[in-house]
Amino acid sequence: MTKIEKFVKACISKFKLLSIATAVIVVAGLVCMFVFGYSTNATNYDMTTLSVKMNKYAYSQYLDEIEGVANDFFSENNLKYEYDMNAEMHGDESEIVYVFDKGVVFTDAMLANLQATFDALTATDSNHALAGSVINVDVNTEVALDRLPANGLLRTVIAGAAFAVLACLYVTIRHHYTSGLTMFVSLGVGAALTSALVLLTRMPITGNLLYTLFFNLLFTAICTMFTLNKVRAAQKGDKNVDAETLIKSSLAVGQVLTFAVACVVALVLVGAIATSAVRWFAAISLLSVVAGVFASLFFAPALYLIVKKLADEKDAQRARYDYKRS
Amino acid sequence: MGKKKSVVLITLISVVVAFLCLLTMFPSFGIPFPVDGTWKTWNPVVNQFALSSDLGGGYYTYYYPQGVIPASEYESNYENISDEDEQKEYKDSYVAWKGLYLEKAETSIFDDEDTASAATVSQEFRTQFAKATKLIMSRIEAKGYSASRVAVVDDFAIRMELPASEVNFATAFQTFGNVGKLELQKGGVVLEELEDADITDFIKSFKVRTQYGQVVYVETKLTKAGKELFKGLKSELTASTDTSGEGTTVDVTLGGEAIMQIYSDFISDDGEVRAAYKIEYKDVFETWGIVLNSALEDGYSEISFAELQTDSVRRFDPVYGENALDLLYIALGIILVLAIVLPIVFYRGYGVSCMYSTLSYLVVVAICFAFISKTAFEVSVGSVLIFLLGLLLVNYFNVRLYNECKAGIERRIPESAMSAAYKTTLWEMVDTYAVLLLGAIIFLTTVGGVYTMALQALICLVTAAFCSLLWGRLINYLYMSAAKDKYKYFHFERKEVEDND
Repeated sequence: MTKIEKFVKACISKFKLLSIATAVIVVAGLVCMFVFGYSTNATNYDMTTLSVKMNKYAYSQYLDEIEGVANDFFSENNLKYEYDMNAEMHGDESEIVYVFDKGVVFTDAMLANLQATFDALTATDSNHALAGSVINVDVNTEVALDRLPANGLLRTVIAGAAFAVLACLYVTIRHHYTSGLTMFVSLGVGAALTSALVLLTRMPITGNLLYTLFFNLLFTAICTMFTLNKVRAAQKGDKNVDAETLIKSSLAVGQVLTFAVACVVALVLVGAIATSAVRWFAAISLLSVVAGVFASLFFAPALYLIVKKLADEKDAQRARYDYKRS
Repeated sequence: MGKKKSVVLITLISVVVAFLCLLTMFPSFGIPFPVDGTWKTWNPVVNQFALSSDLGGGYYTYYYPQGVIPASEYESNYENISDEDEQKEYKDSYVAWKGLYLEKAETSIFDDEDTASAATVSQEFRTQFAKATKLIMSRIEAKGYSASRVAVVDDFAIRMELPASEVNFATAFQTFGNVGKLELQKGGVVLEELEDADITDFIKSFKVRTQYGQVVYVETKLTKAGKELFKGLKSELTASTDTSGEGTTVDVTLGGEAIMQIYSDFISDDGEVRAAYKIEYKDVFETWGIVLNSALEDGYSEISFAELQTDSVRRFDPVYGENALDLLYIALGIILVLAIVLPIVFYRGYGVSCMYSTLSYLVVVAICFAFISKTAFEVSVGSVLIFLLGLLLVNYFNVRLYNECKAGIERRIPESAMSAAYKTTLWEMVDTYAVLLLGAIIFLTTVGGVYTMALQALICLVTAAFCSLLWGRLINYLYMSAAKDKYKYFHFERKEVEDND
């Protein structure tokens, strides 16, 4: 038995502790939201942009030179853009939009300097190839609006709740109501912990949170099913096994962790190629994997143990009652 | 099944799977001979995904309210004025605000031209601008793009990004930015009945539907008063002629712009209105439907944006960088190779049969992702996660099956050990997939990117379930039947067993 398995087995008899820990995290998340609001301080979501607009003549032939001037300006001023949007030529004009963190400030002097550099290159009397073309620089701040669409959030929450109920019903019909209840609570705990952890870690909340919640529910459902399937198989093998032995022999530690590690690898991969805005999505999803592992590997078996014990006691009482009546 | 039959079937299946893999992944190239008289380029399925802006780039435009221009336009106009006095006059007619210039004479922005400054922008303008942004946001949300972005630029302008998968991007930008009042006009004049009433007293909603895949029609759901109104209008429209000047159509207008023309033929005798158009305009009318419903439900804004010119819509490359998709494919390629090679290394023959499940999953999902033409079905980074989740499930259950078979090999011969493993794991797989499918189906009731993700999850899970429960088993059965030594096939050590089954 590995150390992790020992640890998980030790944890499942500590349902109260796990519940308190979960409740504390969820309440702390809520308090954090009510006191400080949720984080909208998203790097690269609200942004500062520097647009270099140019006419056709300049853009089509000398794009590299224009970018060179801009890049020299950025390095001189120790500025680093997150990404650039290199718009294709359209009509008489095009532009390159350099996207910066919203905290980046361009002073008037800096901009005048950059514009002067472009003006020198484009002056009709200059010998430069860009002579006669028109290049203008704009700096704008952008406040993104699609942080968390209210309608989308409401529908996602309703769909999530409906999923938890239906998953509970399905598992109840196929397995037992103890398993159904475990699935229901496990999905709820996974989603609640994900939301609370996002609030607590002050990660920026955007529409991506909705994708993460969906991903989290699927992940938690899969991992919880691993354990519940094992429980069912063990119960079939020995119907008189006591609740504690049953759940301890049915822990799907290896499966859940392997699945989690595979998901983490995929998320790290996504995060590695992404810009910072999507890195937040990957980071929030990583939190959701952690929450899902906790819900399915620790919380669900601990809850199952309690519910199963209660169900067994009830069955025993009913059996005694039936025996007396007969 | 006999060995010969198995070998023939395996060969046939292998050829089909290999062909589909080529169809899916073989790199694009110019076809060296003309097809139907034209030179064409071969494009694999993975090149035909409707990509969201994170992977495929997109389009963006700026919305400037009347009287607001960007600094670059101001500078350009200023420099183009040769006369110094005129330059001064031009300079005096604008107020600088961050990267924008606000025209002092624009009454919707400033109450008083003489006192106009950045601090005196009217509260009404701010309120109406906020309302306009809210309207645009609700329309974008209703359209359901999985990746789009709306941002307020320097407080008084808007920049909107749409994914490259939006084919009718120009119409979409034009339409979403029309935040004006919804009206019914006849002969260019607002209907009398609307003067003292709200349009919602007559129209409940607009529905865009298709019929027989050939016609798209916009159904105007009317209230009782609306039906009466249109009954009356039908007879008026029938009686009027082009020369009468009264108009032969009722125009549905938004901000004064005619969106839809209702001819008398479109109005039934009981006052139902159904405007039919060619199916080619389906996407356009779907967008209009969203905008019209938003105008009905959310009202309008008093401000109007400067008309978008064709050159004001710009295309941009993927935000992850041009190589993002290539990098992603390389990473996915590595994962796929691992998912194929590792089972072969550890499980030998059984690993080869697992390879078919993996490849079949890849091919089916890729084809579905590429050819489902549902609105706003975009492949994004979230889609990749869902794809990997399905791939993991297929491989997890393959491993689970093998381990179960291995556990039974002490007591059984390989065939019956595998058969027992199938029996043991069948309901585990069914239950797991059933629960997940429930989730994917329920999340189809959501909107936007989550809806797209749910649709993609449904495709991935159905395919994964098919591969785990049917396809993988069939392939394994065929390979097992063809194998001379079943122990070698499973990479098991041969032991003398007394099979009880």
